[in-house]
Formats: sequence, C-alpha cells, structure tokens
Amino acid sequence: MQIDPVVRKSIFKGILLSVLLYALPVALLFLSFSLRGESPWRNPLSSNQTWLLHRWNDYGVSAFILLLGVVEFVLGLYDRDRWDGNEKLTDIVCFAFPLIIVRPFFTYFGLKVLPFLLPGHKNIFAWVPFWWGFFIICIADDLTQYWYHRLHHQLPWLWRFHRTHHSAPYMGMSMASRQNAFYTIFFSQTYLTSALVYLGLGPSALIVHATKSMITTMAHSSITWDKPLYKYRILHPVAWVLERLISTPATHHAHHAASTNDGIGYYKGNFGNMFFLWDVMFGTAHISRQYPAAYGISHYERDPWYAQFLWPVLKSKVEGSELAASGPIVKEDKVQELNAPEPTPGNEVFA
Amino acid sequence: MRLSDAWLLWKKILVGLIVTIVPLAILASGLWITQRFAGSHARSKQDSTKQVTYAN
Repeated sequence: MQIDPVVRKSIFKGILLSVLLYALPVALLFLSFSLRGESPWRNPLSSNQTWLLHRWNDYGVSAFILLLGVVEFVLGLYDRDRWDGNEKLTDIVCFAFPLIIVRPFFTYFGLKVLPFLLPGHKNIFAWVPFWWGFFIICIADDLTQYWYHRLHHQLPWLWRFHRTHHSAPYMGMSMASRQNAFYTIFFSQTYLTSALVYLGLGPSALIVHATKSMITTMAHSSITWDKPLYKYRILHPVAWVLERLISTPATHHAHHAASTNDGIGYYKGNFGNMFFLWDVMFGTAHISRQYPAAYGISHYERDPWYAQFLWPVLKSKVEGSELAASGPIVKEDKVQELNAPEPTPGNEVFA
Repeated sequence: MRLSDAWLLWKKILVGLIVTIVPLAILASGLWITQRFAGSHARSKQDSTKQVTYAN
C-alpha cells in the first residue's frame, strides 16, 4: 500500500523543520553561555529536592491517574454498554503492562545496556542547568513522540501497531496507556530520554515525565476540563493560547473520533501528546472547540483483547479485521476517508 | 506469527531506531559543541580577567 504523495511531501518537510527544532534548545544554550560569558555550570538540586522529584514521579503521578479514573467512574463517564468484558480486559492489560514489564525493562536498559553502548559517557552533560535540561527534554521527548505517533498513522504498514489505541468506542484516562505491546516497548522517545538521563539530564527528565503524564492523561480523560474555557468569553484568550500549546480534551478527542472531515473529528491530525504546538507548526492541527459524537474506529470488529495487545504475534479470529491473519492492512473505507478532500472551514477554527 | 510479520516488526524497529538516533545525535553533538567551545571561550575570558586582577 502506497503513501499518499501529499502526505509524503508533508512528512519530508516536517522532518527538515524538526532537525532545526531539535537543534534549537542547544543552539540557544550555546548562545546564552557565549553572550553571558558563563562557563557551563551545574546547578545541583539538593538531596531533598531530588527525593521529592522521585517520589512525585513514582507515586504522585500514579495516584493522580488512579484518582482521575475513580472520578470518571463515579461520575458515570464510562459508557457501560460499550465498556464490556473484552474492552475492560484490553484496558486493564494495557494499563498494567507498562507498570509491570516496561518500567523494569527500561530501568535495565538505562542501568546495563546504555553503559555498554556509551561507555564512559555517564553524566558527561550533568553540567546542563536544570531548566535548560527541562527545555531540551521537553523538545526531545515530545517532538520524538509526535513523529513516532504520526508515522504510525501516516505509514499504512505501521497503522496496525497503533490501532488498539483507537479501537475503544469511548474516552477515559486508561486510554492513554491502551496500546499494542510492540507500540509501547519500542517507544522511540523513551529510549531517547533514557539516553539523555544517562548522559546527565536526569532531574529535568523527571519533571518532564510527570508533567507530560498529567497532560496526556487529562487529554484522554472523559472529564472535559477545557469546556469552561470555551464557554466564558473572558477565558477565550487563555483558551486560544492553551489549545495551541498543549493537548486538550477537545483537540485530542477529535483525534480519537470515529469520523474525520466532519468539522469536529480529525484522526488525520492532532498527533501531539504533551504539546499541541507541533501540530500547529507542521500543519496537522484541527481546532473546533467541540467534542465528537462517537469515538473509536467506524469499522471496529471488537477483536479479542489478546490480539489487540499482541498483534502480530497473536491474531484476531474476526474475519476481515485488520488484525486477522488474512485481514487488510488498512480497511478500504478508512483509505477513502483519509484520501477525501479537506472540509471547507466553517465554524471550526483552523490553526 | 509468520515470516512477513517478523519482517514487519524489524521494519518497525528500524523506523523507531532512526527516530531515536537522529535527535540524540543532534542534541548530544550540540551539547558537546557547547561544552567544548562556549565553555572554553568563557574559561579563557575568565582566565584573562584573573591575570589582570593578579597584575594589579
């Protein structure tokens, strides 16, 4: 299956711009040190600050996500008809997998594999001041995830590794981790950030990870916290800035919509995870300040949880499914929708 | 799992590897250049200041 030439051109242009974006924080750091005549110095955090960062990252974020899940459940924001046994199992397995398997795996990678791959380079950039490190990790981690995510949508042969994340016909905090195992285990940004931590940017990475987890969980949540920002005129300037800067429920729910090109749903774009700014910069943004009527994949066959979690090792038994042994790479109706012309801007606000 | 699936996984890992290594190379080389040049430039500036102080 071929990539659309327009998409290919857009990917190529985006990659060139990304090279500049990756270089931006270090170029500014260089400029700052040169102009101010400063030697690179380290602003070490006190042991108390480091302890707090670690605890917040370990327990604070997890507690926040669980609390959000409880609130969603208590408020009845889960559609119980759609959240059946198979969907529950898919969500629970995908939620537990990163905690039980992926975290220890990446810890091993950081402690054993990186010293082998980059011997003698541990903490060589520990002199980078904390907030410069924060700036660097923000761009490194989130721009890399933007590309990882975008390529799984725009390269047809990668789509099935990401399909599980889009198959749920509802939104909720658990959606953030609902992924195929191979999608999660080969997350490019996690390897990149692990390498930067090994090179000395650890404390900054902790803060970025905690911030990012909260923003992405809130963007997937069924609690539409951004609604008041659109409702009250006085808050519109805040909304304008926020919806272009970070992922909000409105923009990210549009990415999970069951349809695209209807003025609200837009799974052809809105790929940003923590920052929505990447979508604005690369022309993949769609801002409507509305929420889709239906979520998921229009042709979802309710594939069993094990196939969704471990495809291509385990296949779906549902005939004609994209995850079945003889299934299509991308369903025909999806291809038609993706190739359809963009809608004429109406009440939606294009970035 | 068939051979075509293994090939697909391999291609996916390769794409992921490129998406990881390109930014790492840009950032690490940028930080190395900063350490090498911005640092030494500043250090030589500081050294000359010290010499002036001692001369006085």
